[in-house]
Amino acid sequence: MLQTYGLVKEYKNTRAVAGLDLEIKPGEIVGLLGPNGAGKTTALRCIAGILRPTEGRIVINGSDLILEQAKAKAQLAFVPEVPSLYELLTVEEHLKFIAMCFGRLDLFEKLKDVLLERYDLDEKRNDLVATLSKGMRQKLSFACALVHDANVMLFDEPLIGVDPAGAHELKLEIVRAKNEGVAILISTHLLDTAERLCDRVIILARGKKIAEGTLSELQTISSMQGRSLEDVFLKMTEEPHEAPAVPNG
Amino acid sequence: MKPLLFLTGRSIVNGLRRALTSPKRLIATLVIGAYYFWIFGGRFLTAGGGGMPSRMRGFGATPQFSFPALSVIEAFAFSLFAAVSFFLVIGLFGYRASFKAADVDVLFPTPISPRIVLAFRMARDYLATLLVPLILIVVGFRSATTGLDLIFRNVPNPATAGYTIRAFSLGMLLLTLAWVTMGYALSLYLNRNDRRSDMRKRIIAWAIGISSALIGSYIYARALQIGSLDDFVSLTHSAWVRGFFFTATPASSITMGPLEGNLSEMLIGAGVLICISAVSILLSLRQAGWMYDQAAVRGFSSDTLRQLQRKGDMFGMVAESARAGRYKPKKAVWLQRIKTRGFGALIWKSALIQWRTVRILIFLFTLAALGMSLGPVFGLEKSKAVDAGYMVMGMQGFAIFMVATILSQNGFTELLRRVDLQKPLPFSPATIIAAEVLATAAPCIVVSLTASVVATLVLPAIWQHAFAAIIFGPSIAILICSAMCLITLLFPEIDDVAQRGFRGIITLLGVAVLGTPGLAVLIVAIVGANQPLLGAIPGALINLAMSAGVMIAASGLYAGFNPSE
Repeated sequence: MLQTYGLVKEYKNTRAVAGLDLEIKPGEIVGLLGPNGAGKTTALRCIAGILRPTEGRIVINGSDLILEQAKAKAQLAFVPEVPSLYELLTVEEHLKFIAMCFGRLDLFEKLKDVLLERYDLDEKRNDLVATLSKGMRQKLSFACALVHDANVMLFDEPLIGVDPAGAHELKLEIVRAKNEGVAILISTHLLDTAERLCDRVIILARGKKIAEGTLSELQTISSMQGRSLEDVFLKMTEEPHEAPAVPNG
Repeated sequence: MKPLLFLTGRSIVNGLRRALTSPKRLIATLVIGAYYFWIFGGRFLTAGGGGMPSRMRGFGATPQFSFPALSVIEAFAFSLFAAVSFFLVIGLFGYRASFKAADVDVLFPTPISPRIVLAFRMARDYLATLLVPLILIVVGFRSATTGLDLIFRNVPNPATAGYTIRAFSLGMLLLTLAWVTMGYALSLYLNRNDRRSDMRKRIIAWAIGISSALIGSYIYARALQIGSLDDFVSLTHSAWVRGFFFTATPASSITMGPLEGNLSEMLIGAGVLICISAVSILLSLRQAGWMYDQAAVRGFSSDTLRQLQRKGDMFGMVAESARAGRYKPKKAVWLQRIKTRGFGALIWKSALIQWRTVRILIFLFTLAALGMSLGPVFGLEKSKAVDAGYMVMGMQGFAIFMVATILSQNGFTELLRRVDLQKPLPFSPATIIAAEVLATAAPCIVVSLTASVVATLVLPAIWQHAFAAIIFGPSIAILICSAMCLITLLFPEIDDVAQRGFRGIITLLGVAVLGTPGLAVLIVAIVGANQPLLGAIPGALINLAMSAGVMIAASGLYAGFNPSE
């Protein structure tokens, strides 16, 4: 569903992402982990079509993101870490705007009440986005991701700033999307959440993939059987990373 | 395109509605509207003939003059278009298509083609470029039309007058379009986030810089030899000048078409500018894939800075520059070494921030205050020492007002911004407000002390006036700062344009009302007994008492202030 081949993103003096290969299948949740500055957000922004990769390819459900941008993006939803939304649109208008961009006003009409109610935005539907709290903005951003029937969802730290009930609802929504066959890539620092939610994780450090696999595979790679993802992550990211340790299959 | 129109339309409607919903915003909008109507409205309503005495109306009183040769008119039209082109060239390297953070997070990941987004931006920018001339036309059209009619009544064929004005407007429209589109094409080519792009930018900047310098020198050298209109016409027809201002020639051809009765010249001129615009649009659209990358990588530092500049928020501007890595703090060892605690710590913090942000401003104002205060001391004869003394007091008052208002505007915006940090500190709201007011007024006290001491040293006879200024000046500074603190807390929405404007108007009114009693006592003492010191002491006490009352009111507002609301 989502593949990247040798994805590189360079800024003037920095190589933020250095040859990232990844593949996410339909109905799979993959966690993108790494210390600050590892290149997680840059990688996600490249996949979301915001940043132009310096090298490499991104393919979404068979469509190349550079060559068939509209087709590829039509299958994509992106929830940024701290969503900057259009402050002078109302909550409902914001949702409608996203649906219009994706040409899915039919879905908007069908889903708007359900989504607004599910994310406690029902009473605020006519309020300007400018008046929403940080958590409510995150919820609206999440609702926007669900209003156009995406096949691939990208989340950058989706649970930061959301209340426990909201976080629970978001996690349920992610699992619901997974069960519907959506490929999901989540960048997060919350390792316990990643451990419970993700089928697989990819660990990045200095723009490179240093490990990939299920928790048990990573435990095996790091010789830390029975230990938590947090222990495995800390061990892997504190060691020098010369060669990537990616298990076959 | 439809979603973008929806976004723009709804944002405008909601923004207007927002400006009128709460009573505070409504009052502020009405006051601002009335203010601008007062400034521009009267002129607009009387534009029909306001600019001309009634006896001049009609053409009877117009002096007859022989209409200049068409080549001279063409030369002037060309010069005008060349000047406009020059100003448009200056902005050529600037980053175009400035986006908001919301565009990056929300719009860019959608399947809307970047070409559509780019075309929309170009159209919007083009309309924005035309907005200023449009306002000028709306405000001054009737007066201008009368003037133009007067000029064109002498044209060999007066019927062409109306067409010439229209042709000139068309020339201007097409010239602006050509530069806006060229700006986009170049911006997308030169502002890519790689080293090659930096190199290209440098090469093109040098090329334009060198050719500008060469053409400037050429024009200057030729201009020195201009002795007649013919020389001027000859200069504007120089191949070098025409080549450098390549868009001005077709624009002047469009303008001259009706006057010369040469339709083909007009069409060729329009065709050239349309071709330049079309090629630039095509080049821009071909590079549209870079637009999102440029916007996301560049961040929003320059936009934020522009917004802060508009608000006059100097503290915010320095902080933004620091965030972008463009500001390195200078050491203020003497200030950093001060050890204090409690209330003093709050003052120390404000002093450090003022040092980092507005120290040059304070220095300049101190110099200005000294200049203004000491001017009378040096300028008047010694026998008029009393007059000089009063002038020292007056000028110092003015300087204190300026410094206090500028510092308050910045300092109390910072107070609102840092409320989450400052409120949990172990101080009562009254203590925090008192510290903020005193810290904001402190530079004014320095200005007052310095100016008074220097004035007394220069002209000892005015010691009483200088001493009165030292007593009264700081008290009025504290009063101004406390009044502005209260007004800022009453209208705390920093980003709201209407509230910002309203705050400015209310500040003048508030300071006038609160400052009147103390000032009245001082004036009575001066007029009645010629004893400024006698009035300064009770006047200062009244000011301080008023300040205390205002600070108590401000503390109440600060205690209840919630930035999330």
